[in-house]
Amino acid sequence: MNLSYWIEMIMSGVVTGTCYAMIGAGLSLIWGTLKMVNLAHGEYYMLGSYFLWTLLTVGNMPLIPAIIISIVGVVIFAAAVHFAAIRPLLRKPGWNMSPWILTLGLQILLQNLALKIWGELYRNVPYFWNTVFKPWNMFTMSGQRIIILTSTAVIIIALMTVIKKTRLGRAIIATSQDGEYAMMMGINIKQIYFITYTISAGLAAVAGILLCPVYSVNPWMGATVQTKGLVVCILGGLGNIEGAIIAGILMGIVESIAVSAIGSEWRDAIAYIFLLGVLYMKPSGLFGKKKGV
Amino acid sequence: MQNIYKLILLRKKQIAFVSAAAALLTLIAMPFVVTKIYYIHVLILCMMFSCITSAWNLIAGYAGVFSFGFQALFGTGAYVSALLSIHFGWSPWITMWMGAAAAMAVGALVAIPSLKLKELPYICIATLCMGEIIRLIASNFPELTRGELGLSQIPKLFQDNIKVKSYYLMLVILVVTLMIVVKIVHSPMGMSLKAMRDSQEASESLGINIAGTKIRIYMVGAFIAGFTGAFYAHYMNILTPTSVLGTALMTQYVAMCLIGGIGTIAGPILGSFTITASLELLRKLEDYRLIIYALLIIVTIIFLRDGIWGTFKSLIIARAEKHQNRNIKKETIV
Amino acid sequence: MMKKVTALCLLLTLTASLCGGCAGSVATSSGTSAESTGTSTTQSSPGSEQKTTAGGIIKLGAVLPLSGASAESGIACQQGLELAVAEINQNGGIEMNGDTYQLKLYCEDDGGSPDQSVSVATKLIEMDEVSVVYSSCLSSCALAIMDICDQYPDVLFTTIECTSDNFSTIIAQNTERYVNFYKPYYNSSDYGAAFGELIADLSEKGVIDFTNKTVAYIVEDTDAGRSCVKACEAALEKFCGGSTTVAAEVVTQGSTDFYSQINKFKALNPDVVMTFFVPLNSGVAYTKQVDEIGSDWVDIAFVYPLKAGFVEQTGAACEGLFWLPMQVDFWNNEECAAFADKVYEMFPNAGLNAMHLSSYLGVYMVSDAITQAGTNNARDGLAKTYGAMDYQTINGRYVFKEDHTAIASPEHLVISAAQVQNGEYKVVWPANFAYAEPVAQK
Repeated sequence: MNLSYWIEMIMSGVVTGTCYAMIGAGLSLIWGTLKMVNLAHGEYYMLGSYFLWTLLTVGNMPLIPAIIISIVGVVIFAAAVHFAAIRPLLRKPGWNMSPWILTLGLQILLQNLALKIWGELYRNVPYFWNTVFKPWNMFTMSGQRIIILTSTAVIIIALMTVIKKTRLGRAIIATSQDGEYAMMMGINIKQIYFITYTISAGLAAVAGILLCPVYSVNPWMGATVQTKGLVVCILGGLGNIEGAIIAGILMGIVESIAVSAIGSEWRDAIAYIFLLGVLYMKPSGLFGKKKGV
Repeated sequence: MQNIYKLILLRKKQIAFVSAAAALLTLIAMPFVVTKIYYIHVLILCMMFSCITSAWNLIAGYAGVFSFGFQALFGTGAYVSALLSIHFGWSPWITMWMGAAAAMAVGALVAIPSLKLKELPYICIATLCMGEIIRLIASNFPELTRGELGLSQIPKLFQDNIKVKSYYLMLVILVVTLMIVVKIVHSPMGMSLKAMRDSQEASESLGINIAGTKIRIYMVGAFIAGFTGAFYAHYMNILTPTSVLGTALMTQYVAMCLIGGIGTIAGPILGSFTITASLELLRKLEDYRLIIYALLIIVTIIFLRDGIWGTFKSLIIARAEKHQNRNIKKETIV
Repeated sequence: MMKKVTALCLLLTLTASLCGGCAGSVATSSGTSAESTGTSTTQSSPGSEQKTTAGGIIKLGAVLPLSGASAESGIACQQGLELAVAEINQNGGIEMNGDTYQLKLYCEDDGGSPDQSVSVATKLIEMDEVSVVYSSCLSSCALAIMDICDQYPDVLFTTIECTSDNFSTIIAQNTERYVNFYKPYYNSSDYGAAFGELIADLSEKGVIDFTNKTVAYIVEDTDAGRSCVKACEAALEKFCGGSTTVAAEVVTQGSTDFYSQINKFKALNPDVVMTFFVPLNSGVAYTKQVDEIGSDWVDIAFVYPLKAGFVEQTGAACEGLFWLPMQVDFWNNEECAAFADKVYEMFPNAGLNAMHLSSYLGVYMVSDAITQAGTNNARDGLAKTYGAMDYQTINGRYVFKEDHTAIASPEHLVISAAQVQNGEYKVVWPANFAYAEPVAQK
């Protein structure tokens, strides 16, 4: 087990991890502000990939415009869903079980709509950058994986900047800490809900677009991503976006090591045991705050 | 008009008893009315899900532990009973109880660590993970459980294959389950559960042993689920980890419970029958089956947030109370 | 408040009507009208919706995974069945006892779940009154259906492909009980045997280096995948004097991220890596990723390269890959190519694969059996006739063994191996079927 083996393993983990991080960050955003779980989040990931595939093959568009239009398309779709379904349910801030069922229904609906529209065959999107690099001859890094890494890094940094430095970001933080108080302070909560929901959907779509050349496009691709995203969210601490990001990357690395050490069939089990172990020692997640009093 | 609502409020218990008796008689009579075995099979599935959802309703709706790993208890009961009867040759009638006991033990294992978690999403995801781990264990030891290849040739309950016998057995299980649920809800434990659901801190200050109550309820729910799972194993005669331990099952019982009305007794049963029946009857729609099903769920939950029965109940009670207040006002004025 | 009341009333009405519909169709025996299923084309003879076939229709049922991870396979089977039924009906239908009958196909979705398969099969038999049930293309579902076949002795049950060894084991123990159940395909052990012999031959010829006898496997978590590993190991014992399995990775079906596994193998350095995936995308992903990272081992693939699009999607990465079984040579065999054209004509967007042909042949085989037996009732002779058939097709010769599975041999169903040479598939093994020499990979 030489050095390049370890580096390769960590790098694989980091690449998958950054995508978990993006999905987890999006979910954490929604959880934090809307106080709701979005079980249809994986479906925005799936739609992003399908829109890209459709624009590239049927629409014959060049890559960059196709990516931009796909992201915009998913965001618009998410906005529509927000107005049609989510808004009516968000009468009062606070936890409620009905969004679980609503988004569950949405998940089934979107999966089967995708099946109806695009068919059951797995679709292929070619790599964006068809080269392979061998840095210092230590490990291999395909162009696609480099794009994934850099894009997610850029987006995550941008997200954190918006959250921490802008007025919008502060409004989001305020709403997630205490919705009623934020309302009293004059923040338009409904607008914040809308914005966080659409940003989150956009993040999922970007993750879908980046990953679809590696994983193929099919109607059920969102489901596994969804579960991992939820796990990452909790691991990082509810509502804590940086926590979700770090947790995502950590999870990716843990899974990579698990596959090498034990075997592929236990990969998910190891990830879950890791989460349970962390929760046992720190019930509010790695970076979560303790509740109340 | 006022008299009806007065009647309803005063005679809540009698009305409930009569409607339950009527429903029971209908179910007993069904096999004589329905000729096709396929429908009997669908009804058995409805009743089975009613048991699962009632048990989950106890844990989640009353005790507030929203466990998304509940399917692991169902599956544990199924696999343990099946494996014991296959490998040791014991009668399914005995192994069913052992399966339920195993589910209870697993339930305790799951419940105790999750007590540390306070917030709803944490409990949901943590229990989901535990459920998934159990599924992966079953899946990854094919020498023992045959994993995804499917554990088949499970000994049957009734050697003569007459489905109607299984129907009546399931009906008995359902009735017993409901009796347990009703007893718990109307017992002092039930009172403390309601208190816990409304406010955990307040009930703690009143001296209610939260942890103990939760674990006890969890084990009751686990037993019911495990027993139902064992029945399922010997009825279907085939098990795979995905079908009895997977998240698809979780989606179903959560949907059924919430659509029916969580926190009520009749809600889960109503939800189970409605959803199972619609899924089967929607088969005529082919490709659009699941799309229509999903739309039904979405529309229901947007308009009826407390589920069908829950909303119905709160509507009637709200109306009744409004009339009652009006009467009080009338009396005070006059 | 009013909105809630109206919504509640609407919902209750919906529920009541659904239940009413249920009760309604209980009273009449076969109340379902002339619904056709999905995209089936011109079949039913006008006006004759009769329960019995003495009016011109013979009903075929199919339980298939039309949704979920195996939808690719399920829908391919559905299309193959529909193609055959449409063809037969256009040519006048099938003959039975001097009369001609049209075929009507009922395809139902079981979502790939064995317990649903049983529900669905029961529904097809009791509600739609089919004479034949095509019992899934997934072994786990077919095994579940096999468990109830003795409850319906008048119905013939036949699978579409399916490789699990369990069918043989269970049927051999109690042939009487499964008298109406058949699996017109070979078993995992036959796959394994071909794998073992292939490696023995290739290493003898010096095309591959099998000196260390180390093998790594990546298979999907299905019965086909897992049992193939065991079969391969057993075969290597027999044909190569043993082997060491350095890793047996089991991944979820549809998985496409193999970087970790490939990296692990690089450290373990096996002579041969066997990959078994049914969905095309897993195979494409693995091939591309192995090419990216670079490897020293010989890749031997199962199933996925047969799917249309493999070479297009992998490009130069798949050059030199060995794979089996070359069940249907759509590229070099004229009859198979003609069949492919027929499929595309009826289903322009089809993902062509061997299951189209297997299901298509399945309908023809059953219709021939019905004509020969003079009955569509399994108990009255259809099952026996079907089991005794010696059926020559463009894909091989179907003969059933004692255990109701098909014989795999050079004279019956051949399992041949191909290699990608210059972007084309060339059959390189066994010797009497090969039309090209195997070359060293990379």
